[in-house]
Amino acid sequence: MEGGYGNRGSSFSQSRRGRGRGRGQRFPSNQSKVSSFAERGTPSSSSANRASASVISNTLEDDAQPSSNFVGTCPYMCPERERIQREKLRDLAIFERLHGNPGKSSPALAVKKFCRTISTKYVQASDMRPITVLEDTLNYLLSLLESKEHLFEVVHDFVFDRTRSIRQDITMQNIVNKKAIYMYEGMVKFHVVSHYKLWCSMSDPNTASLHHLNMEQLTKTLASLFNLYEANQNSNHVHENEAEFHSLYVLLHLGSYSQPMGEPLSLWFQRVSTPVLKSKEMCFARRILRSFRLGNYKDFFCTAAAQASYLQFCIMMPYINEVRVLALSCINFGGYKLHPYPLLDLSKLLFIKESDLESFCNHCGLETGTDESGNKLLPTKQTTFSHPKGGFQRYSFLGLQEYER
Amino acid sequence: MGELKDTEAYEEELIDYEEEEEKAPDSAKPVAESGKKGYVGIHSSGFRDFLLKPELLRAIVDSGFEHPSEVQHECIPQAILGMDVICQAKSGMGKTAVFVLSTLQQVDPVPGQVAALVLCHTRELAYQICHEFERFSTYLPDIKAAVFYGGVNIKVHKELLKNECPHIVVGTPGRILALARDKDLGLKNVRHFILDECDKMLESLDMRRDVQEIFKLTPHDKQVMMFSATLSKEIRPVCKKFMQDPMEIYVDDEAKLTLHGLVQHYIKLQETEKNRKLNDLLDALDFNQVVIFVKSVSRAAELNKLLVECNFPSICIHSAMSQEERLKRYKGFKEGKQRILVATDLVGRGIDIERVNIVINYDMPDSADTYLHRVGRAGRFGTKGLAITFVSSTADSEVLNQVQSRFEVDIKELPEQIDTSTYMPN
Repeated sequence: MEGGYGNRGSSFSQSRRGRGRGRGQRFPSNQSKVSSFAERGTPSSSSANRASASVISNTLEDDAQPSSNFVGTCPYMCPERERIQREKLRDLAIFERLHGNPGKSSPALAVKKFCRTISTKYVQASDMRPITVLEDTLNYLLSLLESKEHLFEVVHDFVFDRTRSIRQDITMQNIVNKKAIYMYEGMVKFHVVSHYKLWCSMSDPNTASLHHLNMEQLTKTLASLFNLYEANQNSNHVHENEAEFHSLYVLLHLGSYSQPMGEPLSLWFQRVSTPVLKSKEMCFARRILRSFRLGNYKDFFCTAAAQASYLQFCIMMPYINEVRVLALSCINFGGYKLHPYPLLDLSKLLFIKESDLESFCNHCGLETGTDESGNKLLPTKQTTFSHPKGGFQRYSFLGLQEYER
Repeated sequence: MGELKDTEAYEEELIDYEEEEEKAPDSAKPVAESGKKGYVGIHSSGFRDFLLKPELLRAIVDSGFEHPSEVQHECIPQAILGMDVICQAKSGMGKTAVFVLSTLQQVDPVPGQVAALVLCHTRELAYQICHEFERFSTYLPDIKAAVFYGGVNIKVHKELLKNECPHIVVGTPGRILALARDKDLGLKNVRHFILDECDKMLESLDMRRDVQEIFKLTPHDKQVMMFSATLSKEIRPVCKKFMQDPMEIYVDDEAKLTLHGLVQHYIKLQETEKNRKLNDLLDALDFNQVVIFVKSVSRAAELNKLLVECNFPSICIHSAMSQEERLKRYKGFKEGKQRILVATDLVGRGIDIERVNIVINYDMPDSADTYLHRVGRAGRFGTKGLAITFVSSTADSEVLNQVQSRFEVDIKELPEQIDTSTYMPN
């Protein structure tokens, strides 16, 4: 099996996505993305070589062409009619208040709110923002995430709702071009990073709710992104980030092991294009998932440390401690009682700081000791081992320290 | 080279199979993270994968629906095949769209024939459901929906039925039964029978009798769908008696109907202190729209009068009003003309007003279920909200304890200072 991996590894040398790309840069630079999109031509129509199931789906897609002539004309981040009404109702978020006035906003501050009961039957073109305005709006929203002035949860709430409205405008205008792909990638990134940040404060019940709701929108946004990739599919071309975003979907299944599956992953794989399926990012994700399910904690940690991008790390982080508990369980029950495990060695195995590891062991009901030289040890065969109650506190993951800013 | 490719394909297939292996070694099975509240199913499919009519898909897009909710994912594929469905899911999870879309998908509009009947227990809810049918049938011009409820002169309804028989009828049990008994409404062609907020109708013996009478007037061979945010173990068997081998969906049942995004508090005080406290709250809280629930018609009228006298932008809705007046006020509040609504439990179920971010239980609800429906008016659709409950007696405390144990929630006393970010949209 290892040999097989070696062979396949060489065939992926063409992958253009290096591990370093995910570091330090959470969101792409606006200017370069805009210019690079402008230089590209219109993608050709979908390949004719589709499976019969896809043909059916494709046919339905054509027949169900929404009102494609509906194009928004709103020049602002928020339609003027809505802004005026929300000023009157004092329905303004903190970020929308002019000089902190809860009853006053401005075109540069107000952003269109998500509305569940909307319909084009009652909506005018001036209520809908065209793609260029939506792009500017998204860039504005994502820039708020850099703000240090407010708690992350506060910023998250606002961006969460307003990006949802952006997706709504895109959906209702049936925009499926490259700009839409770029925008959806940005929104997926927002939800992925939020997934990690909200998880770090899961002990707060309100944040737990935010985490749950964020996961919901993360999966929906990701599904839309896949639809956009498919709509823009070119038989010889894979979008720059397409493989990584597909890998995120696979990694999300780490959390579904003990839960009912939404859809079997094997069925989903059938719809993924071969270049994406064979990409380095997808092979990484599938290997991680396999290691997780088989309980191969060593392979899980080594592979993650060596290959995970920042976004992949954000998805995986909640489950790293689960695997650590499994590892401790195996070592505790399988180790020799006469040979305690040096904590330093164990910390390297689990990619955790030694100081964190001691706390982690105690959290699992395991006592640690010290030998005559002052080295910390974990005696094995302890009967007090138990799965931690109430979740985990935040522990480090060595090898990804540059992400922990 | 050829051999290499074959080997690669073979490994690929094996890998796919391995990843679907259900029986991992026991010791390798990670324990689910504790404290997890509800589960978001990971779906990559959308509305088009349900094989809905293109006209419906078009309306879905026009309504800004990007993807199905968890409830819609679970229910729609079965419902459009004509299977009976019983579904429990809390407010805002998209139950209405389930029966609206699956009914529109299946109805074949024949002139003069009622094909679908939707019963619900309040007129406002009936009005709202009919509106949803109209929204999603935009591109199905042959399908007509109409709403019938009490309080409107029955002659108007009889005239409408005679001249322009709808294919989809939405109504309250009393009026529907009256029209059916008088032979103005023919139900012999009904193929889809739907109860929204079914436990409310079936728990009341009077209303249940009406529902049963109506049910008997419809064909035996039909699809039956029932929905509610609360379906106790006791009421479920009653629902099933109307159905044949229903598919049962209890979304977030294990999570005990946690209300995501809703902050809940209580205040202990004397009955005589409620008005002062309410005044202080309305002055102090930053709200878009508030619904204040009271337990009776007379208390609603009195409280509203008091608030208006204190210059609060308040309006009230209760069952003693004429239907025309109720609907007019409902629309006015919904459009934001007033920001405070004083109401009885008449509007405690299903009513959909997006800007409501605070609910105040001026009077304690009579049960945990009623509490859930009331506070579900705030924090809908996964947005933020705040619920405050006045506790002024031992009986009130008991209901609050029931709420906490039933819904896995720890309702704390209202602190002196509330962080507005916990319920205001930021």
